[in-house]
Amino acid sequence: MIEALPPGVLLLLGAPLLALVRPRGAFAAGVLALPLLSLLHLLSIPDGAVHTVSAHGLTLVPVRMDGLAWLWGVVFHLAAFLGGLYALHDDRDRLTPILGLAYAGAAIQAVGAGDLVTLFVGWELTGVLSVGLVWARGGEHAVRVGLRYLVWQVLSGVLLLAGVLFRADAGLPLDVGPIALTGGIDGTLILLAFGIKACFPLLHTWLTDAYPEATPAGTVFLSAFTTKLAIYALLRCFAGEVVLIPVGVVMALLPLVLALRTDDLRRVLAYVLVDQLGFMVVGIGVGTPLALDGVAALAVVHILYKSLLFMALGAVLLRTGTARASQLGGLARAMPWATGAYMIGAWSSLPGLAGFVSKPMITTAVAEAHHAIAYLALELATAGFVLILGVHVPWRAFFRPVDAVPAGAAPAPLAMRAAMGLTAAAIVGIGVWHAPLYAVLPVQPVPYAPWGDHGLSGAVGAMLPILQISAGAAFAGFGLMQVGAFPLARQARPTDADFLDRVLLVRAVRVLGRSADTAWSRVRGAVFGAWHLAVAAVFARTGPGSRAAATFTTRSGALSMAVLLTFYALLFFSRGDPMAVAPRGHGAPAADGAPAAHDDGGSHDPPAHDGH
Amino acid sequence: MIAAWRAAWRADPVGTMLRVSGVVWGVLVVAGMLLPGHHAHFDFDAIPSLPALLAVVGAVGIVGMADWLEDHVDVDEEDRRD
Repeated sequence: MIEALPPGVLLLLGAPLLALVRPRGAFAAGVLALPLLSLLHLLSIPDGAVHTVSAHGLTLVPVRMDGLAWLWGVVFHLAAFLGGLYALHDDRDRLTPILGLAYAGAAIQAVGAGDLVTLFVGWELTGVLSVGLVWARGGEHAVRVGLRYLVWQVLSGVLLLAGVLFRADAGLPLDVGPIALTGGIDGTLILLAFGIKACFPLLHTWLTDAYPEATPAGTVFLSAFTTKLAIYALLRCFAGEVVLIPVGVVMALLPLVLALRTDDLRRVLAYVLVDQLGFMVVGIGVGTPLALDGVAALAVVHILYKSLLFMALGAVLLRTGTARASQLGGLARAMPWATGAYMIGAWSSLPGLAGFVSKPMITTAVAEAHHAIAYLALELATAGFVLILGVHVPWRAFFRPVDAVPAGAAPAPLAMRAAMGLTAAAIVGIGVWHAPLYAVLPVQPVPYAPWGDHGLSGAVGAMLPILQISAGAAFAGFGLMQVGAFPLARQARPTDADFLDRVLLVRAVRVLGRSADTAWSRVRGAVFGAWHLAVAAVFARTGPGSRAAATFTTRSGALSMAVLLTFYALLFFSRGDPMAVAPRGHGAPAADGAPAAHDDGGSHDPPAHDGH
Repeated sequence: MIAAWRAAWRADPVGTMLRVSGVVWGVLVVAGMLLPGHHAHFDFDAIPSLPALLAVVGAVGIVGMADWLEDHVDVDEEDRRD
């Protein structure tokens, strides 16, 4: 029976109930137990299980469990547990863990959906619930950022629903499966809906706008679910669509440039998050078994190391009150846990860490599919990733010598340290022992050996490229710093595609508004001017002082009356016998009370005399 | 050695990191030239130590682009208030 319950529903329904739990310890236990309980439920659903529900002529599939859904479901539960643990650092903020767990439940429900309508429900719930994590920061700015975020999320949902309706209208299947981009608009609409949440170029600004504005724990939750749900949906529906390769290449490169233009280090992480999504989108576009396994592996690993990076900088924000690079520096001694966690996340591409066994699968698949430009672009993007996350951010926040360490710098609270420790352990564990991860990837057997196939020389050959890229990026980065050519951003927000909607669009609307206002003023002036002229003219003829309003003298009045009476008398007598009376039945009421006949308007012959 | 490292770090932290990363990069470039080549998928992929060269080109290129953006595209933050 419980197997028919959609995965994630326990989180979705159970999280709000935590608000009723008053004791601090019980609340913390609930936050930690709920993801584990929901995970047990997920594990109880057998592989291949499909449960359908019929409603209003539609056959919905709230439960469809296979390897891909299972993998995403398990990792989402892990992320919910780690995020919940991290969020327990603040006793006063109960909203963030409650919303975070409910948001995770919505994402897991969407992952378990077998049809597009059920997917849409989870899709919308993730947007609506996650905006609360932005608003939880408090203040008018957070409200405005959250509203912008919500607009994008709702737009994505509307596009998805429109695509689903077009498919239903065309009699196409509504299962969460391959969707063609040719033949109808439905595929394009659904791809755009997924593209918003996957941060396609120009559609990504909601992420870099909102994620850095959430609470420290809120950002950890946000970084895990929405974008990976979109990657899951793309993997299900658009694997092998080559248009995704150039899209992913732009995503992998452009955000790195913008990341260097921001002084807010959590916004830097947000831009690099988009860069990593670009790798996944390229892999989905390539669509070979190795590429698809690589996308799944990188998505899992990315949830871990991106969460770890946001956890580390969240701890910095909590302790120092800022994540601005220009105000940080020298934190390595004062915040060793955050520094260590950050370095493991940032250098997770190195051998022995989880990125090493996942990301090269995608670049290898791209090379094997002979996409030369995409391959070069991903190699350059890897160098940029190391430059920014491995050199720029740690240097500015943790290692740069400063005259005075930022006030408040101290080791992170216990809950934060526990969450960072567990996440780092998972990254090291997967890096050292990748077999359990590879065993649950969607395409089996996995056609990739991260340590090479030929013993020690093979292992060295496998490690060499990423070691060369890492060392080269570090060398170039420090070289640019040494000669003073490394740009230091001063603004918290770089100029991005939101320039289109937040500056150009606003200016265009203002110009249009001013033009419309001017035109309306002119029209109104013309209309009211004509009206005033007309009123003035009438007033001149009939108002006080006009001839019409002049009072008459008694003499002229009597004369006028005499003229009028004379005229009336002439008129009266000129119509024949003025004393003629209409016969009965022609207008006059009958003497006996009988109703008078209807006067037909005088179209009869002249009336005859009746003896009076 | 640790004392020498500390002294170098105190004197010139960026220069120290530059020298360390430069030496590591140089060693890896040489190693890439000496070790047997991997299976190349493209003509350019057969260049020894290509990733090491790409890393430097990529890092400098991205920094250069960011610098160019600051000079030519960046809009004052005050213009993009809520």
